Amino acid sequence: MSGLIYIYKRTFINRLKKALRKPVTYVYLAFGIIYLLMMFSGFGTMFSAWNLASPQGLVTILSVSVLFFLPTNMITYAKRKGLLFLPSDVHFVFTSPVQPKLVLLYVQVKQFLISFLVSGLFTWVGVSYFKIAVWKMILYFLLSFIVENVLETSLMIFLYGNERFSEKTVKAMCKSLYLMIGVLVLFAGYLYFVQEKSFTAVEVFLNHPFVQCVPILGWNIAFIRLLILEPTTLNVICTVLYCLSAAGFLITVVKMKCTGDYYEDAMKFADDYQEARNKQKKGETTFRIGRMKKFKKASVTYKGSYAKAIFYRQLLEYKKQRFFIFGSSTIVCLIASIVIAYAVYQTPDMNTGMMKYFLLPGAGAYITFMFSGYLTRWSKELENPYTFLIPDTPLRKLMYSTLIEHIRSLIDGCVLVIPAAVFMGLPLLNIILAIFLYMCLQANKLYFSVLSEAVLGDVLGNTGKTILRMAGQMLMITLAVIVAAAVSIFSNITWGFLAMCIYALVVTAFVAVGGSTAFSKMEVS
Amino acid sequence: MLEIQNLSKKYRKVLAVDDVSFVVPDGKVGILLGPNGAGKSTIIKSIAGLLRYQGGVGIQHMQAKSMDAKKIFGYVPEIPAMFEALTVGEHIEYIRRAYKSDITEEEVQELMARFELDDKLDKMGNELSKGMMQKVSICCALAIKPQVILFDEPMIGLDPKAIKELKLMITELSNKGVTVLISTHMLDMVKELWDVMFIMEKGKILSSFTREEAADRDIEELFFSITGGKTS
Repeated sequence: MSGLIYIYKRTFINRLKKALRKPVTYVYLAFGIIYLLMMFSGFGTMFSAWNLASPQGLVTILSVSVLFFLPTNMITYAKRKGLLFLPSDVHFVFTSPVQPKLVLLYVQVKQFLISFLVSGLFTWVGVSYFKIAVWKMILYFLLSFIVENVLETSLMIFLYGNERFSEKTVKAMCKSLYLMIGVLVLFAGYLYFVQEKSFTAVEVFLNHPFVQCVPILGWNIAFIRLLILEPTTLNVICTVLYCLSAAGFLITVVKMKCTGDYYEDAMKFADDYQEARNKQKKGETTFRIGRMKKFKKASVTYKGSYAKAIFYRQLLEYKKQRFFIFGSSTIVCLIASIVIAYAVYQTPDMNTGMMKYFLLPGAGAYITFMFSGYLTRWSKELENPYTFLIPDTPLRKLMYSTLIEHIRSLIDGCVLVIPAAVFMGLPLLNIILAIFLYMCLQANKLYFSVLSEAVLGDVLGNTGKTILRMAGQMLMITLAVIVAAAVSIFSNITWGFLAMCIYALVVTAFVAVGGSTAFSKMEVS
Repeated sequence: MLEIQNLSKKYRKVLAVDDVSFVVPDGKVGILLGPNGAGKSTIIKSIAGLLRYQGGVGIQHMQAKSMDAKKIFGYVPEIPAMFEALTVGEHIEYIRRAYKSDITEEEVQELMARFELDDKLDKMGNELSKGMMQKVSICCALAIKPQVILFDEPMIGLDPKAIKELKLMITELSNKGVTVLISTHMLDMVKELWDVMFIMEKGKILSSFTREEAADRDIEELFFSITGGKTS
């Protein structure tokens, strides 16, 4: 045990010392404090606007978080995937003479700290914004922190460390949890559509005896209601059951035999998680940790050599993908197009004047900006030594590494613009220009990413690069809007549109040339 | 002594290790040889308690998963993983605390000097190269002062000086009565070290020899005569 405490202590001290030595820490800290202050200052207005600024409102928020987090945590624990062990834990902790149950607690300590902070935050928020008595919130803080953590930790050890359940039993447990969630969702749907077609349906749902009687999950909600609202026969009984179940599980896990069978699953998850983390550091998104990606069979004919080969290799990779070059961005574009068409149908005023012509480009700019943290296949090229060994110019390498992304944005642009534009009755020239502008914005985003890699390299982390990228894009979009507005005022909207496209193209070309240095030597990245 | 009794391990439907039994006596160096995918690492990880398995593993006549067995057991994995925010010195200190090891400061200094880590004590885990991580991993396993130690492909990533030192260290451990098991496919590296050899293929032990039984036969010749390959 002293070894585990030593790891925590030294890790904390070393990380703190390292962070304090970095100037960027203070920048992030300042941003963090400003963000928190802004968030807290907006809380009052937000809770009042949503009719939540009352004890009942806090109960609703806490209950919804219980409904969301508790079952998902239980399912991940049952699958032995909820705890984040590191490969170093596998190497040095799993093999050491420490009881496997203690090893589970060692990882859960981080969760305790988060829970302590969150409970503290809710206590303060409860007093400040929800008009709840201080003593009530202190009682809530103490009891919820203790009972909820005892129960969740005991359940976690029970599900992770139990060596009597077969794989089939665990699967059945997960299925029953999904079934329970399904029943609750159906019940909530029933209340919404049949009884109360408004936001108050949530309160009706949480107040319902059926929900509060659901073992553990509902009992937890009853426990919150008893602490913050007032005692009722139902919530007192359910709270007693909740506390008894916490005590029962605690006794069970203390007595339970655990020799470390879970190490195998934890080790696999640690490796998969580490891999996902490494991918995330490179800007890739992993949706399903640990799932082996399946590829289709495909072939491609290389119609060119040198840097062109990069394009054909990427094409081959995309052909092997399940959905070819179509990704989540295509779905986002389609949804945006439908939403715009629906909004125009609901509010015909949106389809008049400047708004008619700039609604779709605005949506395109918004999508481009909001999804700017997501890197695509081109970024992998910078990690591949063969990219740098190909005997061709950096600009051509950049061009062919990113060509397929332009084709993707052309398709996404068509998906975003055409359905809504046809519905809105936009002229063909404006449709073409809107698609072209979307392509330019996407290309601009892409080349700003390349440029930030080339300029910053390892100087700043991913967050720093993202900030630079977003700042560049924001500046470019703002200037594009000014250019369009200026030209529109002096001539007409179509010319304004065209000017915006030309401006975006020129800026993109400059950024591309600047970014191409990233392809000149591997050291930069 | 290290005893493996009827060890079997399945990964879903794939049988990785099939009813394997062997013994490495006290103070002997056992080598587990076999091509890629033979099941060597699975056996090593099972002994280290990282996998679920069927059968039994005994360390000095104790169940391998018992706390008493773990206290006298050292493990050097194929791919070392350091605590990113702990220095090399702090890794050793952690081992000292976790195992209640009685290794002295002088012994630590000597160990570090032998693996040329004495000037790297303040380096963080995430600042180390793969070779350095492997050296730290070896030093940590040795800092336990184990009675049984497992090495999974220990030479990979090490520089020639460290390989030479490791070989010398293994011989010294053996002379002190420590049981050593090395899993490798680098036959040349373990040529002079072994006392007992287990040759594996497709999850089974095809053959085992003591050095006396092998007499003057070369390790490569022995290996390929069993696995059916050709000597270089």
